[in-house]
Amino acid sequence: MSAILLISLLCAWAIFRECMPLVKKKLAKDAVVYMLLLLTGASLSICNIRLIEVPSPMLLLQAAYGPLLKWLGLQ
Amino acid sequence: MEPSQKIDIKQMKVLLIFFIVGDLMWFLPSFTASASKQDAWISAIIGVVVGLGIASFIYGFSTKFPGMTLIDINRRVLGRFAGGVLSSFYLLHLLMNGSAQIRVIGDFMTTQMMTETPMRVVLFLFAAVVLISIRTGLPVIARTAQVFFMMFVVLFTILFLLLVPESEPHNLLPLASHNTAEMMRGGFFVIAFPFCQLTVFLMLFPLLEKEEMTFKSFITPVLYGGAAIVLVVTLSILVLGSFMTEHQIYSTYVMAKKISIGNFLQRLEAILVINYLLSTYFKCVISIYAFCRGVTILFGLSDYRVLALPLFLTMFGTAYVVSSDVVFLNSLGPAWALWEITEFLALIPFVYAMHLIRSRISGNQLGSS
Repeated sequence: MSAILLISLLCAWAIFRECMPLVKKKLAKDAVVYMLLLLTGASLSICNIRLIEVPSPMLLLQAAYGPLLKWLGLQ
Repeated sequence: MEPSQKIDIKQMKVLLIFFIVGDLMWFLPSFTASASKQDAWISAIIGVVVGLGIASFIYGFSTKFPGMTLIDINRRVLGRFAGGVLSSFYLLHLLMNGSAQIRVIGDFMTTQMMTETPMRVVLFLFAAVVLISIRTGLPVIARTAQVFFMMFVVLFTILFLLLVPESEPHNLLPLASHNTAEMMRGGFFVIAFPFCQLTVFLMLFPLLEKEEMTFKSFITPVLYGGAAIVLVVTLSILVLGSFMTEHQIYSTYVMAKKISIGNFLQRLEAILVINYLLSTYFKCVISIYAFCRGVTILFGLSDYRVLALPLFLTMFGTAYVVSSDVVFLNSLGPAWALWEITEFLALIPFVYAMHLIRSRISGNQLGSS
């Protein structure tokens, strides 16, 4: 629980310290990209800390390259 | 405004060597040995020779578009939309590569050295170090690489020299007993992992100070890196034999544990771990730095450093998501290698072919008007 609090505090600090100045400077694009990365990062970090099982995106890679790997004799 | 991110050629050379050696010592010997057993060293030589060709092609490609990053090149050749899509895939690839480096460190630390420590602690700390490096900028990263380079070379040499007495030449026998296809399969990993990944330097070449990087100054560090690959794979086969090299996840670490000089000088694997951590750290930082710059250029942002903190959380999370455990991460090797090769083919030969077609068409139009 304390780790989630740490991530939340980190995000709050990041928004007030880094994102708000971007909005004030009228760098809307920077702020949007910043928020998108922050939200993705925070969700993934919470999954990491709480050990929530998330299917690996690398399964897609294995599925996509599976036939080629078999053909090449690498699997 | 971001401060100058320029580095000189010497620093670029050091970064190139660190990038090529990178995480190869973790997995490469076992991947190569799984395909060609005791002939893995021949596979490594084949891989390095083909890899040098790939590196030369990447260099030649960069000279066609001076002063441009890969994102700029994609946009210029393929247009805003198609170039943007291809660049996005490339950036995703860079992020996954950087996060995988962190995961490799986390897996190694928690399975071999600090078995009681939760992996997320190791991932968090390593990602934090990468965050600090990204914020300080490329010149600081490059200077750090220069400082550690001599230590890296000395430790690598010590390790090599101390392992020579442990090697058993009969481990290489029977010599060349595998067919060409099997040897090529072994070489395939060597081609994919360090050499196809060199496309990341197309994001860094425009940051070179004043003078242009000549072919010689580019290929020399690549050659040194290639030599390190051949040395590590050969030594692993000589010391451990093909079976142990193939089936141990961290074969070179196990190999270093065998060092024993007169039952007095022992447990020198720490030397190897320092080298592993250094080279993996630099590879990770280079990938993530290139990712940061890529996002900044793609979206037209003002300063890449602003993204460092959210990127730290993304890396920390992605390092966990990328694989459920060390066995799965290891099993990803062949698919990941194909991904590297696909990225290379899509980014360099395809984009270059499109550039040639477009310039020919525009040349014809100019000629007819």
